[in-house]
Amino acid sequence: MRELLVSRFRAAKWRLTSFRTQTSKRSESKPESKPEPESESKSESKSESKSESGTESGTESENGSAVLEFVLIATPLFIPTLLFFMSMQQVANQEMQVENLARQALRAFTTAESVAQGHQRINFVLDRYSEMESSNGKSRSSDKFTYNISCGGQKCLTPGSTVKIELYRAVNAQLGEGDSRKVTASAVGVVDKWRQ
Amino acid sequence: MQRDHEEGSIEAGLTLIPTTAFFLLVLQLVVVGTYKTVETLNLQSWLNKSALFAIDGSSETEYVGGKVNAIKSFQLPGGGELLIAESTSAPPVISAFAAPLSESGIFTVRSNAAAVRE
Repeated sequence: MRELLVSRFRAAKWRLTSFRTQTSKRSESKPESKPEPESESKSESKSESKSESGTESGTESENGSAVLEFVLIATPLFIPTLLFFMSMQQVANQEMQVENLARQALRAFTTAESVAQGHQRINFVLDRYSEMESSNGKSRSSDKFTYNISCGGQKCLTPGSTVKIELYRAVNAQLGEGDSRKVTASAVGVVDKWRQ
Repeated sequence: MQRDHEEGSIEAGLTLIPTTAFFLLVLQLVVVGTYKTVETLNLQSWLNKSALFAIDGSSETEYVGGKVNAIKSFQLPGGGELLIAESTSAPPVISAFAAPLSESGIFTVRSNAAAVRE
């Protein structure tokens, strides 16, 4: 019984000493704060020390959590956004190339001697371009061109007539194999008025 | 006092350094994509000019921003000529994180263009 009382007294004394040390450290770091009155009872000081230590441990446990939360939440959001923008950039690049090809194919058509030869020339241009891309490993078998030529109400390839070409190409998007997008470009040209 | 100032620095270091590296790599990818678009435009412009003014592109030719690797010429049915050019260029490296990848050639940009010469 006596030993139990002695051990409890020692524990209480150690707690009081540690609390005084903490208080003195805080008063050194924060000179503006008011020193606690000495007349307060031990029970009050104990309860205060409990509440303060509880608040302090809560603050310490939250240190750095804002950065961690930002990274953990933002990174999974950034990756799909990055994939989306890269896919959009790829499609925009393809549209630009298809638009240029549409202009060149139209030029090949309008300078042909006959409509049949014009189609032959367009197919020739598109096939050679696809071959060039496939030699670089850029195009796939599904990236084939299709086109539509319209000459308005006039007969095609008569001098001064307007010809319109619409060029299509199915491009596989980067996000998935099954997800394909059709890239479209159109060009309008006039057959030379002074052609023979 | 000194210990208080260092609180959270480990967490910040462990998360902010990889995040910064990731951000710089993403920025490099964006730069590469934009550079590819610009390169394609430049190559198309150059090839159209060469088709219009009959510049002979039989060998390696330099143009604004890049270098033409090969120009292939095909005879069109019924007359005329089809020119197809391919160029390769290296986009600028914006950070040291991407430098080893750039040296391996992963960021090399290839562009194609076609033009009809009559």
